[in-house]
Amino acid sequence: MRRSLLLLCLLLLAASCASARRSGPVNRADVQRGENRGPSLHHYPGEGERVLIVGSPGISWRIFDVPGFGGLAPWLQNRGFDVWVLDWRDLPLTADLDAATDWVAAVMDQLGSERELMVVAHGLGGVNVIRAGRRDEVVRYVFLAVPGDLQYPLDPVMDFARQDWNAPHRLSEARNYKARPAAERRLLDALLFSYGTDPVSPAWLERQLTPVGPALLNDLAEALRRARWDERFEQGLASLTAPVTVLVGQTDAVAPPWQTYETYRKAGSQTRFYRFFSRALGDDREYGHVSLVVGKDAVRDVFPFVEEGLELEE
Amino acid sequence: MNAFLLRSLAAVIAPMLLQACLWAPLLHRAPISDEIVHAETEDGWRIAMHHYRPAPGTSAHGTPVVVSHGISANERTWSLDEEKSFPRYLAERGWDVWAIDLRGVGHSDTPSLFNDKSWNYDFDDYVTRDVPAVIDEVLRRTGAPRVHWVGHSMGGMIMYGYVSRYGDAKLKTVTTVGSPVRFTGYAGYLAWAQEMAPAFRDYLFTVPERAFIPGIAVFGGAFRTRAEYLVWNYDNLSPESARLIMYNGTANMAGGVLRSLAGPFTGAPFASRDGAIDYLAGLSRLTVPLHVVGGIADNLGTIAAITPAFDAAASTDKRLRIFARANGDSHDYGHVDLTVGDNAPREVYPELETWLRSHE
Repeated sequence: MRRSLLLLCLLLLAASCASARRSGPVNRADVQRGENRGPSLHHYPGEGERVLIVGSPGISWRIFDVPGFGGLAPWLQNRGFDVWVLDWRDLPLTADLDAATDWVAAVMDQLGSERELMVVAHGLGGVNVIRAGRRDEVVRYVFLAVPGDLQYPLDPVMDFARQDWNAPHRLSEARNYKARPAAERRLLDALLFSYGTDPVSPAWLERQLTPVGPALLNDLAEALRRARWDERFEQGLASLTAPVTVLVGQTDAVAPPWQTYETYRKAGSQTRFYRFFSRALGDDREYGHVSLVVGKDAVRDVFPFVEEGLELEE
Repeated sequence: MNAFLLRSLAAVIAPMLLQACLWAPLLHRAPISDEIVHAETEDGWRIAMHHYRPAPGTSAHGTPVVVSHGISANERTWSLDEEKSFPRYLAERGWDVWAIDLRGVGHSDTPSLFNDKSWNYDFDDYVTRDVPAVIDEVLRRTGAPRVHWVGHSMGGMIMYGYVSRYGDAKLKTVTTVGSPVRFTGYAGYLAWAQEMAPAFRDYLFTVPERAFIPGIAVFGGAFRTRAEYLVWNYDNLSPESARLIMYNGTANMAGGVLRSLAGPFTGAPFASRDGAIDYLAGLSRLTVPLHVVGGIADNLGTIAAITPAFDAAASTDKRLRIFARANGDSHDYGHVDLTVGDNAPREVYPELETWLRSHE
């Protein structure tokens, strides 16, 4: 009797583990760029349309698939999409903004060479997607918290812009959070500790910061100081023709709505959709920069809009 | 209007009025100003000015401060009680403060069966009649050459209109708090309302908020609806304050004002009644110091909506301040919590006062 009960418990445990497991394994693939190894990709195979997720350089791809919880990548896979997530970790620390954009362009070209591609991009990742310009193979864009200009930044972002980023790895030193200069702590606060990342902890989010080279950081700081992106970005945004969806959290302190709205407004696409997330629009909470893609509330409030964006009809 | 419609309206409004009476002992708050005086406009309206005298023992500042509320509101928007009162805060620091009720609300003349006033006035009546009358009356009473203007929401918009028409000779500084001039970047039902508004623009009528909002004020904070989050952030406004605002601080919205604001709300230029004066372009006449204040969680005076005025103003001395957690504030501020939010006396009032003092 006791043995039967034990067996039953083990069976129940195995069943619950199986149901909790992600529906697809994560495979890693590399994109070749000439003779050098290019960016790595994490693959969530699916039978449906191909989706590339591009996060921000400096933040791990893991925010799209939080261990033990899930995220946008497995969520889309469960809906049948063939999902690829860009991993920025191999980007050389000498890379500037142009080099990062070229990486994204290479990935889009490679993934789109076989079949049509849809792109979901977050933050600075979206800036790189836009700077890559129109690609015939891309049939939908969903931009999450991607600023179309840099007017009226909040204080932590301006503090960041005023610094001379000559030392690499600075953004990756989050474990020394309390020892960091106040200006950097404020930027991290704005970036990471936004509303609604439950059940993901701030400590876990801190660990997802990855190294970013000084050239890229200085390019970013320069754009912030002049309050706009460069000509490559403007031309890229105007050149887009595929349907564009722009989503943002109302209290996003890094890419606030008044900046992301410009992405929607200036996109060349005929079919565009814009939505910000706010309790005033019936959402359960306010959303910040990272909480837009992390956390159980994002699953309920935001992800369905991502899926709608991927199905937006021209 | 047919009898059925009238009976239906009465059936809805009467219980609410009754409720409003019932809640009066609980929620009614008398004005806290030192006195209420009136300015008279050229078309015969009496505009109430709640006077907060400089507190005894304080070193008085020379320039009086005029404080204006926005649409669907009255002077209580700035002065909920002794603690949450920007005029009182200023007065305690030596300022001579005049907080106004625009025509049709509060202690100003209000259309009724017993006078010849009507609800047909519009935004330009505020700009061309109420504001000049108030400024002239304050200057006459104080003997000062200029005033500081502090306006919340539409209270800042009417100052933009005034400057576009008359220049800034009578102004020392202008502070606007959550005052939109270009209604862009809305989403969801706000964007839907923008699309629908042109069709209904000519049919907008006076919304008798005083007939029903006080009646439901006792439920303020109980359900925390999206409509409430549209105007304030409950993280930063206690339910008790919400109830007091709903009971004491709401006002009827005149149909003419709604119709005149429907234009800019739906993408038309922010301009005078006849379209001859563009109130945004007219800010090239604003040369005195300008302080534009907003809240990141403000759904009405969004940052996208308030910053065009900041850009258009010719002032060389201007400051944009966004109240947000990321900027070191305790909360992300909404529209009304900028004036009477729980933390406004600690965070917003001191910044506004410091800025005024630095420009005195």
